[in-house]
Amino acid sequence: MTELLREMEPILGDLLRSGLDTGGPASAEKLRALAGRCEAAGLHTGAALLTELADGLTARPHALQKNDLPLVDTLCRLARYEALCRQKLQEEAIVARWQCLAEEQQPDT
Amino acid sequence: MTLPDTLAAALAAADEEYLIGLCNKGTVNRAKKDLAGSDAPEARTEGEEVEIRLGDAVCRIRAPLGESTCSCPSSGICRHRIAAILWLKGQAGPRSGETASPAPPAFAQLRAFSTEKLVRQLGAKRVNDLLARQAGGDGPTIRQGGSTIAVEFPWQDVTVRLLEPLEHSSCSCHSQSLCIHKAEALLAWQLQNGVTDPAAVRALCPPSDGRDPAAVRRVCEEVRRTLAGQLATGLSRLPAESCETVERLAALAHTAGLPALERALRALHEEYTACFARSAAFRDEICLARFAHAFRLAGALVNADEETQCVLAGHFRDEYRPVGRLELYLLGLRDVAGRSGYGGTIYYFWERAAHRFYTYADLRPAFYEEPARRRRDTVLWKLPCTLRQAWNCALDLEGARANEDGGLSATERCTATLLGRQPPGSVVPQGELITDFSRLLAERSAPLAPEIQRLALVRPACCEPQAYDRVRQTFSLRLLDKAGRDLWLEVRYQSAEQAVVQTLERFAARLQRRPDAAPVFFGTVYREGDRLKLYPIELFADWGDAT
Repeated sequence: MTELLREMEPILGDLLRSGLDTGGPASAEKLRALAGRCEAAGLHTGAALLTELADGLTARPHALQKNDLPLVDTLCRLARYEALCRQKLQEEAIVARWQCLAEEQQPDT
Repeated sequence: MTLPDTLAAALAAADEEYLIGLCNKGTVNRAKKDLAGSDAPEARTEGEEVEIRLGDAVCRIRAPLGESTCSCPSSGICRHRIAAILWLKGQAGPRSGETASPAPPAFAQLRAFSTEKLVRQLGAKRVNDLLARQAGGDGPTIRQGGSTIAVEFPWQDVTVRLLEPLEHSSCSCHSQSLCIHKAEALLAWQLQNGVTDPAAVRALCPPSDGRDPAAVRRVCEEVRRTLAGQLATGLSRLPAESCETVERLAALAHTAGLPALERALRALHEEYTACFARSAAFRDEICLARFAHAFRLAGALVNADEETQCVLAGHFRDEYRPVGRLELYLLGLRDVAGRSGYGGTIYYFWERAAHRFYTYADLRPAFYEEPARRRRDTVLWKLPCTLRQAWNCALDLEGARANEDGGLSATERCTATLLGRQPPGSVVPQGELITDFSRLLAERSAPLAPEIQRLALVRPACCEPQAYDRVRQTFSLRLLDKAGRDLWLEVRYQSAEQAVVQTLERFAARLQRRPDAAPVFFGTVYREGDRLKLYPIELFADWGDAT
């Protein structure tokens, strides 16, 4: 999961930097691949959001009247989802670290 | 002289307090004096009213007395009318069946007056202020004397005399209509007499707090459209003026009464500024998080119902509300120099009754003066010393005001009584010290939570000083609880933190000599990587536990 989030972060960052006009089509394929891996890892919400974003980015260049609001909405939801996952992971990492410390102490006692 | 029945009844019910309520004490006294020095006026009854000639003035006295008229140009109740009423009262004598002491008035009209109308006139902010004051025992003084109710608002130097009918009540602001003071006075009286209750009044408050739904929608849609346009172009192709666009949106959010959206946009503006200045501190992920927060908040505000919109809109930090009497204890303070260009000292208080933290931020713009020349000491709330000198002192604060984030106001209306220095252990209950660090993780370390929610008093089971990290220039101390969970106290060396690092180093050296010491740390909890960390604000080597 950490690996997937680590990969997701730069893709979203690239989209922010290069914009939907330029970076959209290039990111779509990466997002779709990542969606498949997220689904396999059990991150269903993440997979659904990634797919939705990838579909939107693929369809965007072909639209005459561009309505970016739903697409940006999905991107922002994905960014929030990623942030929440990171928070949860960090909390779990701290607890896991404490458990390791407790296990290390146990043989001595 | 025979008087019409309705007028006779009105005259019998009108005591001196009532007449003062109709105008003021000075006018009543003047009318008495005029009456004593003049001959008996001419009077004749005409239907339901009596015409009285007092010198040049001709008064027509009728029930209710406040509707009497006079030929003089005065718009309010003049001395002629009061003199005429007093004279008529003298002529009327006791009515048949009237007892010596009349029953106290029931104020049926005041009771029946619509609370909803009062709340609508006052607005949510004023109503909430009044409720907070009433709850804190700091509300208006209400005195019921005869047929009037005198309501004094000491904090705004206003006195209202309520009487029946309500439209004849008087206010020291001299308004003839139902002014906000009269409305506030009547609401306070209704609350005191159980006509309504705070919960019902709160329920009647307009949830939008005066926000114009159309303006909110317009601003939020503008924010969403602009941000979407910026994302379509991409940060690397945006002109530098985009910073100002975001700031303009923040100003629009402010005007529309959306402080949370304003803060979100200002945070995004900071990131844009860092990006265009090619700052090394700029991070894509932080910028995206702030962008997403602003965009999502604007979307949520557009789609929310009025009640949810009120919650999402947030509160302005400068909205200080009365919180009554606070029993404070100055736990610690720290000097800050923010990136925003403001610097100063933040004082951290423990509230002894409610067992919670309050802060007072003495921050000033730092761009004009050198830090050394800046005024460092603050005297507040009529204290006999500076706040810095009141460190570890208990003080009682009367008439305190605080904002939503627990920030105290420096208003001169507050008065503090200094109770002297006390060991923190005798003030803060033992149960408030956190000894189990899993509680810190669950309750005090939420990322992006305001600082006041991440403050904690920590008592570790043991402390392990670490070697000074010369690469990161960081002082570290590992704190452990009984279960072996660790919390890392870290201070990165910089000139502003020199004194903090030196104090901690002295403490670490003392720990080597006295490993059984039980210090208490007061600070801000945060997460970094897989570690829970504490930024120290105060270190209590000797907590002075209550025995």
